This record gives sequence, structure tokens and C-alpha cells, in this order.
Amino acid sequence: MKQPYRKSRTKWRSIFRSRLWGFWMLLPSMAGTAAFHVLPMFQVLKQSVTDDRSGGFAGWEHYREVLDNGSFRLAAQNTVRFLGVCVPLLLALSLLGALLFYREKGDLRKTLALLPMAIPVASMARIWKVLFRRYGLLDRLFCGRTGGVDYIGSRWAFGVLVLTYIWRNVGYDIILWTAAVRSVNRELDEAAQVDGAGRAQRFVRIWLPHILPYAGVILLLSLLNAFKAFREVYLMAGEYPNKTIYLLQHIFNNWLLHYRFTDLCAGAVLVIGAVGILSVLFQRLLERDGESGGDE
Amino acid sequence: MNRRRMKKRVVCGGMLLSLLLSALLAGCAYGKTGGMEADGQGPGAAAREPDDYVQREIGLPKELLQASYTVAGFCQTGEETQELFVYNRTRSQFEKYVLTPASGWEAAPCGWLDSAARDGSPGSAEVLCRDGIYYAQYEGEDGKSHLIRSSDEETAEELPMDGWERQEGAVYYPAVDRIAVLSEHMAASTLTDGTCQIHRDGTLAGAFRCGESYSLAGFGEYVAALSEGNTGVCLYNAQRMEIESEIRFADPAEDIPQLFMKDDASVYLAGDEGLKELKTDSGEERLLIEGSGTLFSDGGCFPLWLEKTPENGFYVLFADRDRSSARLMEYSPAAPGEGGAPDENAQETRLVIYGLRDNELIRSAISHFRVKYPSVDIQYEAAGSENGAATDGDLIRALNARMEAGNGPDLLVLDGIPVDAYVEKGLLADLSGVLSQSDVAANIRKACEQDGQIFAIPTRIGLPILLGTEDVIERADDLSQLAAYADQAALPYYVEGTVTYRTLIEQFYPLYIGSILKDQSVDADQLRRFLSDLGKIADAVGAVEASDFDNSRPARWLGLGSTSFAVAILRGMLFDQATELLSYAEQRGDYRVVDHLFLPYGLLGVNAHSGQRELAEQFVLEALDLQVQQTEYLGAGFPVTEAALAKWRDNESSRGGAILDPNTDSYISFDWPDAEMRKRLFWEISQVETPVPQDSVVKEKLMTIGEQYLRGGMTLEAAVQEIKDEVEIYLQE
Repeated sequence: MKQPYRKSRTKWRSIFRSRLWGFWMLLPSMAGTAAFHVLPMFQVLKQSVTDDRSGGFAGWEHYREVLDNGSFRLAAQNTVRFLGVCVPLLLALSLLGALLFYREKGDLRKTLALLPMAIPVASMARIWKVLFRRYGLLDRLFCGRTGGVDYIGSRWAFGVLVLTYIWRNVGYDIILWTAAVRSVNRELDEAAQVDGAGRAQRFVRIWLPHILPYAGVILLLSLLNAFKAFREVYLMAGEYPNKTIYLLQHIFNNWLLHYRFTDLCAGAVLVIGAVGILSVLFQRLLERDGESGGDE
Repeated sequence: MNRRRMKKRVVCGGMLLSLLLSALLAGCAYGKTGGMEADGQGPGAAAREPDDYVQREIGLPKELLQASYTVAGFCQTGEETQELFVYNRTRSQFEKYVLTPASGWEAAPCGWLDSAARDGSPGSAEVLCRDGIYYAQYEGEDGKSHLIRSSDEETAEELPMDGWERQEGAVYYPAVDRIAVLSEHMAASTLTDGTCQIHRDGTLAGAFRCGESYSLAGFGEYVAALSEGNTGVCLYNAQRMEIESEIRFADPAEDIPQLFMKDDASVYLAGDEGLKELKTDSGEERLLIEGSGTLFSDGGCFPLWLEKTPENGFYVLFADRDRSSARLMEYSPAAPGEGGAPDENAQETRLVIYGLRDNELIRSAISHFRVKYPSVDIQYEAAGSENGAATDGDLIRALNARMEAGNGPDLLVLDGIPVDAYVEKGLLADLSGVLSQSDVAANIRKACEQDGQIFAIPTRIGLPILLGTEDVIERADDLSQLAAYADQAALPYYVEGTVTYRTLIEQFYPLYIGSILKDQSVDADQLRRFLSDLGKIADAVGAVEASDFDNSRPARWLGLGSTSFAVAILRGMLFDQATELLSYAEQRGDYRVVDHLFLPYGLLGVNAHSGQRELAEQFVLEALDLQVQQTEYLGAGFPVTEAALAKWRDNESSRGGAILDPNTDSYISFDWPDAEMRKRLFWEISQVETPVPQDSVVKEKLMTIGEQYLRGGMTLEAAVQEIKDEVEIYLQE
């Protein structure tokens, strides 16, 4: 009767031993992540509630200053607007692209799709300046020699930003969606077709429930890439671009320039919190939709 | 099972081993590179360990400390006797001071130089002594160079020199730059046309092409001058009248060294790198005195005269470009245990100075400070000059990260750095206590005060001025009146060159930005008036969007004539664009500093958390010392201290020139700045009270959007609104 107990101990010991190697292998990476990401996050949190002159506890003072700051509010507004317009648009366009091209095989399609993302940011900014600056290609096309519209420096700047983001990321998302679309059960789809279901019905009832589990990941990646759009904007339009494309990263970058570390930390905590809450909400929503789709 | 475990262990062991190996290899490569850089023993590098010399400053005669003077010569007339010749501009006479160990400096007569003072430009005189006979070369009123000689120090005879007269058909005499007396009968001279002439008893005996004309030395039968292209030294045998050898520099430096000869075995080269000895027979080059840490590396000081001391040391007289301030340094061979390589184990005091750009005044202050505090190691980081590719924003962010980490520099040159942010965060120390020990002009001090404290003090200032006719100057304080005047008056244009909209905004920006920016917000009404008035002025002067001609000179694009005006930043004083304009304005109109504005340059601040705060404050005092502040060449701006400003005001030297008046097609000659202009500008500086905001973001926004409005790309209201919105984003941050 003692044997099963001994077997169980041996089993746990062997599991532990086999996982111990994994732990040691992961240790350098974990240490790096802790040193360069986790610890600084705690430092940021601490600094966001510290008075910068006396070093004492400042409470919510910095958060209040940040929320009262007109520039921060403008940046937050622009960022929400940018995310609200770009991310759904990107998801929709890339899904459409995936639906149109998922049958095609070969590396050429993938290469072409990923090409915009492979172009270095600095090169892209240069090309965009040639296209969209005053007396650039677009300006000459529409306004001729007497024109002089700076699309990057005027109210058109938001449109340029959206175009930049979509162009750069649509190929990547198409590839991700393609994987999702290919996972759809063909037999189920054919059966529904035979039963007289229309294209729209089949898409909503069969395709979407299969695709939605992937949507969470694609959404998250698209969100991360949306924040990276700052690089292009910064290279094209500098530290103080047109007010329509003045994003959160601009104000953080400028606060670093003006030695406003405590405001920077408070702002960063607010943004992380907001993004974290949104991510959790989206995840829950998608999981729930996935479950209900599965049930049906 | 065992085999699997074994395999796992082998794999992990292999990974760890490879990691260790790569770390080892990387360490070796780093060590090797570091070793090579440390001792510079790469292939082809000449061994150049400098000898150990101790630097000591010998103070100048008390009479010269407050006087305005030009150094004329420094020579050794006895084993322990040196003589200093100066032209005292305050008393308008030449003076001689004799230095002996027993009695220090003593004034002595030098009546023989009266003819130079009377008949020529005394500031140009160069005095030498050879074998007890004195020589002086100077430029006469007629523009001709003269050489006089005296053996009794009371009277002098002129030595006529062939080749120094005007050539047939030429307009000017050849200008003599330096002379070297080889003996009673032989002399060498360099001319500004790149020739070196050898005279025997006044007759031109030989000549050769040489490099930079201010480098000349001679001894015995040898003349040393830089070779063409300044790549080496030409050794000319004055007996055989031929170039005996040309010694190429082992490591041609960017600066042009000054040459000295005290015997025929060596030529001494003095420059930024220090003092080198070049053997005439072997061509061997040896560094004697390291430039770093001495006045040799001071960009504002030049070694003009050198004499040897009985102990095989050197006396070197340094002076600035115009020889209007001098410092006499003695370099003595270090006694055993003295000088030598610094003991690495000794605790070293270090002062770190940081700026975005290299600043000549700071370098000059560093050289002076090192003499007073030889044990302090000063590290000057001109970040922008060293990191060509990085933007100012990147550099400031890196600096802020250092400051936040507690690793910031001790002193900051705050030009281009957000001063207000640093003051707000308590990063800058209050300098009001320290500045009470200096003589910074009271009005400039007051302008820098914030609630009774001073966190940054400029070391130079510029004046934004408006030039024009009397009618224009009357309206200087109101841009609208000026614009209305420009609208009505028929402003003459120059044939060549036009002003661009951006340049127009840039020129008027400092004069009127104070009224637009108030209390961290934009006054929309003032901004509207500014743009609207500027539009009228732009139409009146025919401004364009882009111009192929260089329109940075206001005279060209705004047209100085009977009814016209120009705006300039008064910073450079000699043959700068503003110099010509001011002299022109003096004769054709007037000028005015608008609203008592000034532009602060070289803002100096002390890090409040510096571990060397006291030392940093001493450095600030050094930067405000008369020796550093005084200068005749005001390329970087005016001094800020009373003594330096007064010295500049009392200086009598001036430069002549001529500019073309395109409206009359004739030349206007000027002799500038004369005493009247100096007094006037001195008064203007005493009246300044408001620093112009040096905000590059606001300026760039105004220029970019303002330009769009001026060329008709947007309406006035749209431009005002956009500037207001974007500038306020910046101000609210």
C-alpha cells in the first residue's frame, strides 16, 4: 500500500527536476525582465507619488496636475481618437484582405504583405515627407505650382497619420487573419451553403465564431503597433506637430525634455492603467463571445 | 532515462561554456583596444612624452591692470632681465617695464618709440631686441611699414627697407606681419602676400614663399618660417640665401603654430598642443609642454613671445587676438617629486562643465581657472560639438537623465537648455551671493533676478537693434507705426538679393516677442497686429518665399537709403555686418535698441546638487573676471561686467573700411567704432533691462506658420489661431 505513495513522491520529484532545468534556462531572461521592466515600473509608481523637490510623499498631487494639464488632455483625446479610428479600420480592412486572399499560397504574398513593415522608419518618414510636405508629390498633383499645402503640418495631418498606420500594418494583420480564416471548418460552411444559407449568414454564424478567438491577439498586436506610430510622426513632424496628431508619446517625450519626471511617471501610470483595463475588458468580451458562439 | 539526462547536461554545459568563451574573447578584445588607445602605441605614432614643467603666472605691472593697452614686445636683455613694451592707450604713449628677480617690475623710459606713437598706428608696433639694439616695426599713417632702430633708447633712426614700398600700379603697400632680427645688418620679415623677405642693410637680399605670415623666427644665420601650406617649417640660410631644409611636421595640427628660435639648433613651435621643439639637424619633433592644462590650449590666448630662462625653462607672453590683454607665464622644469604624471591614487578634485555647444569664453575661463587651481581636473563637455548626429533634444534628455540619477555636471552652460524647468525643479543654485563678489553690471543682474534670486547669469550679451532714418527710429517702439510708415514710403530696393518671409520674421521676432508672449500664454491681439504689420512690411520691401541670394545681411535686402530701415543683432563688432550697418546708419540715420532688450549668451548656472559647489561658484567668478571678460574682438557679444565694459569703452583702437551705398553708387568710408560710438553703445548697454525670450519652439512655430500667412497660404485669423493653439500646447506642457 505504501508503493503508490512512493510512486507519487518520485513522480513529483521527477517533474520538479525536469522543470528545474527550465527554470534555470529562464532565469537570465527573467532577471533581465525584472531589472529592466518590472523594477522600473515600481520605480515609476513610486516617483509618481513623490515630491520632486523635497522627496517626500506627494499623494495624488501629480496625478491631479497631469489631469489638469490641457496639453495632456489634448494628447489623450487625440490618442483615443487615433485608436478609435485606426484600430477598428485596420482590423476591418485586414480581415477583408484575408477573406479575399486566404486561398492564395506562396511566399510572394507574404513578402508583399510584410514589406511596409520591413521598411525602416527613417526611410519611410523621408518618403512620406516627399509625398506629403508642401510642394511634395501630392501637393503638386492637386495644387500645382501655386499650391503649397503641407499635409503633415496642417489639418490633414490626422489623415496622413491614419494612412501611415494602416499602410504599415495592414499586411501584417492580413497574415494573422489568414491563419484565423483558414481554421474555419470548410465542411460546416459547405453544409450551410447546401442548406441555403447566404454568404452573410454563413459569415456571421460560422466564420465569425471561428475567427473571434484570434481577434483578441490581433487586436492587442494592433494596439501595440498603434502606439509605435509615434516614431513615424516624430520623424516627420518633430516634437510639436500639428495639434491633431499631438499624441501621448509626444507629451511624455517633451516632459522628459523639460525635466518633468514626476508628471511623466504619473501620466505613464494613468496610461498603463487605462490600457490594462481596456485589455482586460476586451479579453473578457471576446472570451464571452467565443463561448456563446461555441455553444451555438 | 540516464541517456536523456546526460544529453541535457551536455547541452547545458555546452551553452554555458560557449557563453564563458565569448565573454572571455570580448574581454580580451576590449582590453586590447583600450590598451592601444591608452598609450597610443599604434603603428607609426611617434613617442611624445612631454617633459615636466611647472606653470606659474607672473603678474603684469600694476599700472597695466586697469589701463587699456596693446602689447608691443617682450624680450630678454640680460640673463635675468626681461623687458615688456606696451602702448598704453589710456595715456597714449609707449611704456617699458623691466622685470628683474630682485625688484620685480619697474617702469623705464622708451622715448625712442615716440615716432611710432606719433607717426603711425601704435597698436600695430612690434618691438624686438638683439645684441643690445632695439628695433620696432610699425604701420605708418600712410599705410607703409616702417622699421626703426635705437641703441640708446632715446633716439631712433629709420631703416629704409626695400620691398616695403608700394609696387608700381598697386593701390596699397604690402603689409608686413612679423619681423625677425638676425643681426645688426640682417633682418627677415613676412608679408601678408605669403612671402618672406631677407634684408641686408635694408637691401632686399632674398625672398621665398612661406605659409602663414604671423609665424616667423630667426637666429644667427637661420630664418624659420612655415612652409607653404603650413605643413612644416622652412629653414632658410640667410648667408647662402637659400632654403637649407624643409622639415615636415610629424603630425600636422589644425592650428598654426607660432615659431621661436633661441639658438640655431632648435625651432620652438607654440600652439594648441603645447610647446614643441623641432631639431633643425635631424627634424626630430618633441613635445616639451603639454597644451592641455596650460594657456597654450586656451582658444582666446596666443603665445606671441618666448624667452628662455637661465634654468632651461621658458617665459611665454600670451595675448589675445588684438594684443590688448596679456599674461606672462613661466614654465620651469619640475624638481624631483614636483609635477610629473598625476598620481592616480591621489584623490583628484574634478569639475565637470557641460554645454550644448563649444564656448570660447568658457575655454578661456578654464585656462585661467587652471592656473589658480592647478590640482583641479576640469572636464568640459561640449555635447553638441562632440555628438554631431544627435539633436539638441536628444542631448538634453540624456543630460536630464544624468541629473535625475544624481550624476549631473557641476556647471551648466545653459544656452538652449530649458532654464525655467531647472529653476522650477530646484536644480540650479542661487548665485546672488556669489555675484555680489563680482562686478556684473547692475541692470543685467537685475534682469536675471527671479524673486530676489539669480539662477543663471549670462557671460556675454547681444543687442537687437533697429537702424534707419530719424523717422524710422522715432517709431521703433510701435511696429504698427513702423508698418504704416513702410507702407507709405517708397522703399528703394537693392538690385541683388531679397529678403525671405522667414528671415523677416526672424529679424523682427526678438524686438516684439515680449509683447506677444505674456504669462505663459499668447496674446492673440498682439500676435494679430504683429503678423498684420509684418505683412505690410513684407509687401513694402518685396519679401519673397525663397531667394537664391544670401539675404542674411540686412543691408542687402532691406536697402539702406533715404527712407528705409534694417534690423540686426549687434554682436560682432569688427567687420561684421552690423558694424558696417551701424557706421552707415551713423552717417545716414540712427539706430536704437528697442524696448531696452538684450540677448543673453553663455548663460552659466551651478548644479544645486553638485559635490563641488564652492569650486563651481569660484569658476563662475573666474568667468566674470576682467581677464576673461575683457576683449576687443566681440564676436561672441559684449562683456557683462562693469570693468570690462569700461575698458572697451575707453579703448581707442578702431578699424577702417568702406561700404557701397547702392542708392548713390558711391563708397562710404568709416573708421569704426570711434570714441563716440563706444560711449553710445556703453550707454545703451547700461539701459538694457529685459532679456529676449530664447525659446526656439515658439520662434520656429511663429516662423513656420507666419510664413504661410505672409505668402497667402492662410488667412490672418487662421494663422493667429493655429500659432496660439500650438504655442499654448508647448507653454502648457
